[in-house]
Amino acid sequence: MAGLTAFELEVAYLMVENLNLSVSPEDVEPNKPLFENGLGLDSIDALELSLAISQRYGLEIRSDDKNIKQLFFSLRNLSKYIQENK
Amino acid sequence: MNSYPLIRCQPRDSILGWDDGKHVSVDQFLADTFSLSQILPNATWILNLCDNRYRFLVGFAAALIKRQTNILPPNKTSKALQSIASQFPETYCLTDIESQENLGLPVLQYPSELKPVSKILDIPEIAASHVAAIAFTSGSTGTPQPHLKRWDSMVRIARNTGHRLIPENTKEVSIVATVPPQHMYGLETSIMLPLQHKGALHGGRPFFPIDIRDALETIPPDRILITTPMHLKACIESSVKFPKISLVISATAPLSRKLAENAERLLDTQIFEIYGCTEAGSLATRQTTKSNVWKLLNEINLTGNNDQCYIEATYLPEPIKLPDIIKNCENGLFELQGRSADLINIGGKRASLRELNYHLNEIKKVEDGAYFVPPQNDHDHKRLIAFVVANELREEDILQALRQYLDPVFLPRPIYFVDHLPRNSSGKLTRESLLETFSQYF
Repeated sequence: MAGLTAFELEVAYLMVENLNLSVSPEDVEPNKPLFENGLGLDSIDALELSLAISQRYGLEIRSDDKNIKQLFFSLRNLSKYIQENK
Repeated sequence: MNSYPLIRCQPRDSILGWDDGKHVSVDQFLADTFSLSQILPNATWILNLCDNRYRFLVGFAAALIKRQTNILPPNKTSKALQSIASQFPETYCLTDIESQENLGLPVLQYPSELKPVSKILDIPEIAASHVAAIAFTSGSTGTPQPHLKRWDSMVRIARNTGHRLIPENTKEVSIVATVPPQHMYGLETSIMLPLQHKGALHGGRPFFPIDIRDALETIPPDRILITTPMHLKACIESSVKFPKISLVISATAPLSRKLAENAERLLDTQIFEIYGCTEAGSLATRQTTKSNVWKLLNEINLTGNNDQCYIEATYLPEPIKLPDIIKNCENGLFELQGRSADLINIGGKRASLRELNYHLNEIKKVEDGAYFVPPQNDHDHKRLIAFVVANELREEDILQALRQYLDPVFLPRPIYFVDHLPRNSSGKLTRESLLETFSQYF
């Protein structure tokens, strides 16, 4: 277990299922980068993930949000953002 | 003709674009271009990495009037940029992003304020034979292959595309594009169309559906959206409501008829696809919901059939062989029957299987390795797979090594470690034998 909160685990499931990642949701490290060297997500994933988030939580993600890099930095940041804005 | 103007004559006070929401007239654009050209270093090649599309345009135009050549990088990985720097010595980089990582090239920061120009400027003429840009295809040995784009070819293609898709009597046209201007398709449509046909360009590069909506809302009709099937799909699957879009242009990957029909209905628009290749630029168009058949742009001839098709055009110095399998219907019409098996398209980005395998096998301690394209009906694998023989490496080591050379969409997901690859007695690896290996895992 990587020490995820219940909501982080929910977002990890959403991510792993939608993006066909080979890691299991429980093992996603909450503070590890989602892109590049971390989980290895890319621009196609960003688009798919934003759709999944919009469909599940009714929240549209903007790239002109100054915090986009921060927001997509880790599972913890993303989950916090969704929870605060959904 | 020995030269073409930088910008086709249009009223000098008409709007050419929006830079951060502020509209820019043709006169202002000419002044910005002149002013920037005064501070460009003396060099032959410029790598224009400006993110803001208007600033890219000014950088592109300023380089042209200084007789410099714009390099369009195949991707932004460190090794691709290094490879360009070694093939084109004394390249410098123009950027509008502040925290640019070290590219190992001299960097010119796009000024926050350009020096005002008081006089009215003439529209510069650019020599027809000037190499305006260099685009790259992926080479099989890992070195990107350059393709020279003469100014006359870029002008003719832009005018012919505009003539086909945007009627002359359309009064005002505004353009939002999701594709980068550093990509050949993005350059031809979002930069060259406004310069040589008509249209005012939005300075942003919206990514998520809501960004695209916001950008479209800031510009007046008739709106044109220049995009890819990937973004189009995201737009119609989202719950975002879009303003009226008169025309959507799609390229980089085949657009399915179903997606085109849904998008035309939901966005109340018309969608045209452009077919082209890096070697020859835009070549043909079709309205996907109306026809399977592609219609060549003016001035282009297609000869041959099947996998031996050649493009000839008045502006091309020599015929160019197409990388696709084509049914030549004559009279400027053709059907696309398939891509060459070596070409891979992921989310609109292209690479050759040979190139990917080359990089995989170049990794230290990889004894043998092969990329594998999963069967189309396999929904659990949307990306490429790799089979690798390497006892001492972990998945992360291989990804780390590939990441330096390849766009992230070409990183294998997942990598399977195997004892050996199913090579036949002559050492060849066939898709059939890899399919068998693949089926053992599923």
